Amino acid sequence: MSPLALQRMSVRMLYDWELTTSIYDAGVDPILDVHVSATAREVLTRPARELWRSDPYRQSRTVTALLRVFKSACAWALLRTPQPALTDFFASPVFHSSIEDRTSTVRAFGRWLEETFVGHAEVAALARLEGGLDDVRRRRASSPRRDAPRWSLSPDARVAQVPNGTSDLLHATIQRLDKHAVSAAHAAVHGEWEGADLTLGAGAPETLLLQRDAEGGAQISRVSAPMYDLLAALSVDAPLNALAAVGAKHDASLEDLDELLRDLCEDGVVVCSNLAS
Amino acid sequence: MGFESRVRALPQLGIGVSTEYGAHTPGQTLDPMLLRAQHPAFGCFLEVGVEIAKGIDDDARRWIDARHPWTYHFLDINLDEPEDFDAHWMSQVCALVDAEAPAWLCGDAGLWHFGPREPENMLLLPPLLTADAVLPMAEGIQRLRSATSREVLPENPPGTIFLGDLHLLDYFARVCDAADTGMLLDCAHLAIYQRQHEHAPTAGLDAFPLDRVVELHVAGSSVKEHAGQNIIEDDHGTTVLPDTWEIFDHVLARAPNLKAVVYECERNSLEETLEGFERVHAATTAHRCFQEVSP
Repeated sequence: MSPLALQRMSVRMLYDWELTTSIYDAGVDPILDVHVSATAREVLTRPARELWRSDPYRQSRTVTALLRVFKSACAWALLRTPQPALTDFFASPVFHSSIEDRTSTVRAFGRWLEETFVGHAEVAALARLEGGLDDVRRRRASSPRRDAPRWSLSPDARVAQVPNGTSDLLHATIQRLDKHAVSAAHAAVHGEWEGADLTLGAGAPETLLLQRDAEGGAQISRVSAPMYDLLAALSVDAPLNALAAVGAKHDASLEDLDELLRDLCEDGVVVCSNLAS
Repeated sequence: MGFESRVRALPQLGIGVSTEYGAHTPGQTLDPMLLRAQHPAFGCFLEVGVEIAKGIDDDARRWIDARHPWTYHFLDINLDEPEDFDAHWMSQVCALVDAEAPAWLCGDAGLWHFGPREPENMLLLPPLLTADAVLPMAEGIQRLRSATSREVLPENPPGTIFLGDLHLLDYFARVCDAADTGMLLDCAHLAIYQRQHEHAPTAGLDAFPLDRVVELHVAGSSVKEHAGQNIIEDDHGTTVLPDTWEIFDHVLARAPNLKAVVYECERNSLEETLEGFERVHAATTAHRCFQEVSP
């Protein structure tokens, strides 16, 4: 194991006592299903085992930070079912993989909420929307940049397709959580808010454009299904012929598509790189 | 130019105090400007803890705008992780350094965050203390030094768990040599390490190249018990462990290139901190340190 790999394993062990126990007792990483080499195990197990859990607030500090991003999704998760606990995230493969792959813990938590609470439509829908809003607030890249000429979605924009009524549900949930005298996070964690009369809609999914605003916040606007298809293609850095195919599907000529992309570029939704004017 | 020449060009800063974003609560915690006004010898410079994403708060801004000396203590770079030197972060650091001219950069040479630089991923772990972890750390120090045209002094981080077969001082001696750099020796962090490993406070210092020590930190700590283990927390209170003072006195007498001492006590009241500052001042005066400094 390289020094970097050992560091990453040590972070995972600090968050997950079961992993630590397995490394000490068997030299096995049960989450990623690999054996740790004898040399690495010797390094990792030299400290007294108990030291790995000497900070009892490590998980809760991180959950508190994640709650700020996924306020509504977490409130609904805790309202719907006491199990699993939000701290179960730290034992999940998605969390451990995010450390190994050096990817965002926020994104990993969003994915975990969507996958874990799949039977609770509000949680999964709100996790997707709140994760998307956080992406634009922080300008996370949606896809790797390439040198080839490309139209692509701006780092300040994302699209999301979520169940009908998700954006209204987000708005209503946040309004109620924010009314709590202590804090929205307190309301969410302790279930001290009323959500029984709120629900998702039953119609067609919502297609949304999420945009970073001038103050560093994020705004939601609805877009048509054809526009969503185009923006979704742009978000995965699709080549021009793929964009043309999306246009053709919605009866748009190449000229129409070109004009639309230039308009979107002027609005800051789309950026173009290495394109001849 | 080698370290020996470069260190001669560094200014003597004297005794200073640390701060980080939001550390000062008016009426409750140390106001660096007030410290400097009332006790100039204790506030010769300010060490500003910087996270690029947060920037510099109003208190640090007032100090810097007054053109008082300051040092840039990074809180958000994993020096041994090449991916962490992203273009955005580097450009922000260089812009701040160019505009505000800190005397040097320094900071814990450890893991400040796992994954990308996001608030949810922040922590601080010591580096892996092995021979093959030396070069990546040294390369990171050189890279930042080259980009900012400032000295970059690695600091020994605190920790509960130290992994690797090298003694912490052996690791940092190797890093200093490989990066041809000076170092910030945190006496409180070293005391934590030595206790954790049941070493005497000054164990290993006789073999350490103390001419590499440019800056010292002194800070309070508290001892907690966890499952039969004594855990020392680097809490920056005003109760400084005897071990920390022992290390401080030992190094102070033997560090020919020492330019600065920080008493890290930013979240305490001015009155609470005076005893510690007086202790530091008495020791530096006794050893005739900082004779060039006029606050």
